[in-house]
Amino acid sequence: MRMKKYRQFLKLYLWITAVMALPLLINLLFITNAHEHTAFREIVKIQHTKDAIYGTALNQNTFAYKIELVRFVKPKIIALGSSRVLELREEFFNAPFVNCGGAMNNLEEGKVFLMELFRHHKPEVLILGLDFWWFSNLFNQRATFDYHRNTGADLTLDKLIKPYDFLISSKISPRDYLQILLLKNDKNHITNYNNLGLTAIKRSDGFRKDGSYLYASTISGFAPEGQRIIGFNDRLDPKRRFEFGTDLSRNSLDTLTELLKICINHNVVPIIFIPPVSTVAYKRIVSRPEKYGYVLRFQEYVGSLSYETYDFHDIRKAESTDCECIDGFHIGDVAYQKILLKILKQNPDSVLSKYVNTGLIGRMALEHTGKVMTVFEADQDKFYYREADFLKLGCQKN
Amino acid sequence: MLFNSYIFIFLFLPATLIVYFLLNNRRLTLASKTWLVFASLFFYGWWNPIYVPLILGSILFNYAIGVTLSGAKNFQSKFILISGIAGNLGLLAYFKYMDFFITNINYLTGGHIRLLQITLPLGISFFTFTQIAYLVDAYRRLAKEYSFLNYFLFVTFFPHLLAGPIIHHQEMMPQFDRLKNKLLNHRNLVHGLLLFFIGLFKKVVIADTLAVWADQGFDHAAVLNLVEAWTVSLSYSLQLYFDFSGYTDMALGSSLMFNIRLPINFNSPYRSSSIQEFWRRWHMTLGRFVRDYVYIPLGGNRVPEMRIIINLFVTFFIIGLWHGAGWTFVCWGLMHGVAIVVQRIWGKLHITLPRFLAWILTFSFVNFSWIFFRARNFDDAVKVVKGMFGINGLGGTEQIPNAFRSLKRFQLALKHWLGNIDGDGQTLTFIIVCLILSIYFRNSNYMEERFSPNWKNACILGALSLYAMLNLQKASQFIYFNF
Repeated sequence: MRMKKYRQFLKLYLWITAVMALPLLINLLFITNAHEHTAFREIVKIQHTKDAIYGTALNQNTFAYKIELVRFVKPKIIALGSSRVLELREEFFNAPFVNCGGAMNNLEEGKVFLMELFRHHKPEVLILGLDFWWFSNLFNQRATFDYHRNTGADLTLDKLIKPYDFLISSKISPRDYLQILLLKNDKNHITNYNNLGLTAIKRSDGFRKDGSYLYASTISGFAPEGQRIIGFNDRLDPKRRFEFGTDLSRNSLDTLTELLKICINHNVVPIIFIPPVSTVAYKRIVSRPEKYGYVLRFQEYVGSLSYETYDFHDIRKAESTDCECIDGFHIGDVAYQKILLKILKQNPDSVLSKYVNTGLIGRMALEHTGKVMTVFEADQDKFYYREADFLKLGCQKN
Repeated sequence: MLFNSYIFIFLFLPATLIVYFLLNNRRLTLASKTWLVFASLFFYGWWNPIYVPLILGSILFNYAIGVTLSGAKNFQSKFILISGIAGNLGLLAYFKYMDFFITNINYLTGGHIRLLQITLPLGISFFTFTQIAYLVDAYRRLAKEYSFLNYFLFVTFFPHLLAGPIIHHQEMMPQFDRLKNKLLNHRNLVHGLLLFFIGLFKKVVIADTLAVWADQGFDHAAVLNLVEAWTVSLSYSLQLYFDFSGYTDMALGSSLMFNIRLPINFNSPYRSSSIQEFWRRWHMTLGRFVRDYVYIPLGGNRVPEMRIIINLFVTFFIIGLWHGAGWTFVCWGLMHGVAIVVQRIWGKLHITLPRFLAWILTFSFVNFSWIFFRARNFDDAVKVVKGMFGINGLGGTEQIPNAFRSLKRFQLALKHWLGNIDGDGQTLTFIIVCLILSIYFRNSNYMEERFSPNWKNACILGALSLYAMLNLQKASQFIYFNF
């Protein structure tokens, strides 16, 4: 009798667990269809087969994703830095290239990234973008990176619940949800790209197959305005990206030395540059030497390094303008083409000279001047909208 | 293999259970035991197969000594016993303590002997102690079972293999042979599932959350303010309890599914109002081992007072050293030794403290001593202790006037105060809830004993197991795997 009761309990328990798991299983199907439950290794393969954009809303681990990208492409040139270097694109170069921007959110992470990267592949050239705030003595340089463990295919409760959260907060509509769940839809109204990951499916915002970033919704004028005007506001945010500082951080300088030593030990040539901020942000930094005095010292320090170094902190040095900025501290690919051309003009013997598609980027930079993004010939049919004056600076985008 | 992994929950455990009971149903009891032994070795070798020969060698050696002891005459048996114990301790010394020994020799002599850097084989402290207990029992003529397969199963039975509980020969062998234990028992299966999922929940939901603050504070933060240091120490005390008792619950639960009841290891230790009581409630099977095989053979309580004190110190020195090859562990063990002696002297004064005050003192001491247990070295320990005494500041006094104006401001202030350990507004709430759970809530053994199969409990168990399994992703190791 007692055993019967336990047998019934066991059945009941299994039924109840199954019923409780059902809504989560539906979301599992949803995130699987959206490629939010796909390993980065697989994502990279699909991207290269379908020329797809990868914009994830649930797997924030650019570090691991970029490692997989390098392992797949085996590039001769890589760009490394924060999201600020993300607009260097493979079309600019005549050798295999991967943009590892976003994998290095501080110098320590950059060091860890290179050590991991060189275990798998050694490129010939490393273009290293340094953010000035990493060198402030008030910048908190984290040394632990728990999110590196995320493989893209990890299944967590948070991940299984999140789609409902997105529905409630209207980040995705019930129609979007059902289309992905039932029809595996990966298209949107902004571009004609194949899209992997919810952010990409919704807006085509995400990484291209070379690791560079497509800001499709921003450029088309569909992104929320608030996000894009950082650096064009009245004030700069000293807690995020525009950190104040009283001096250079000794610890950061040491980490940079170690990082460069790792490159040299692996016969990888580092080319160091300081990415630009918008003219507006630049002028605000210069006008507050009591808060940003370390920036000038940082520029001097970079200039004194015994490597190829370039300082484009002031965007005007690249003959670019605020119209070619995505926001106050991210510049578009047109500005990056101008930077490369400037480097080669300044230093014709640069290591980069044999890798840059000078002719193509010279033509494209001219054709697209005043814009953020270059539409190369192969991508002509991908975009449904022209570039908008999303910063509302009165830029001519035609 | 980890209990808190999908491969264990969805493949290994069900497959081992099904095959075991199928073989028993066909009256193939020898085959079923052999299957359990192979499954256990597979479980052990999953982590690193290189150490499977080590455990096999250890089993063969101890079994041979045990059998020899049973046939030996009195004067011979003592010598055989000592040889057996020396063999076990030698193995442990080589794999666990050799680098510690070399480091100390280098320090004392200024020498440069190279460290061996041997990876500690999983569970070596546990299977060595289990087998030492067996040899002593055999010497005392208390171990009567001499079937090789039974002995093999006794040592390798996977639920207790990696981190205990430390079992006795005479409490396991009869269970392996009891006829009714060979049939699938739905009651035990349900109770086993209950224990297993309570343990899994403790580990992946509670202990792993606390681990973030404890690890950050001990291993990464350069300095800790008062709020951070207390958060770190309490996080670790609670992490250790929920991690190890969670592991034990999973071990007891998975064993119960095979109709084998392992001894309980934890009985709400943080409720203790004296150190002696703490050791009756914390890692009970280790306490039982050192009492029966170290403290009592040294003379126990039947020797002069000074000898008792020395014996207590020796016992706690061994407990400290057993946990790890480092002076911080020895320090932790000796701290408990001192506390036990102080309590003994206090007892003779016949002054009784109010229970709440006694609890506060005991918990504070235990919490403080865990700092030395957790710290990688004395510098890390001192860093936390300094913080706890407010030497590095209170944690943002300048924010105090504003912090208490609203809950939101308080949470923001907490995020600031706990900045060095990745804490936020929820951290203290989580710790307080865990503290209440560990002190006032019924423990898993109580819940298991009084469990009744009804709708409500099916819903609770369903939610508990689902939630725990969905949090499995991190699959972190259990703390006691390192000991």
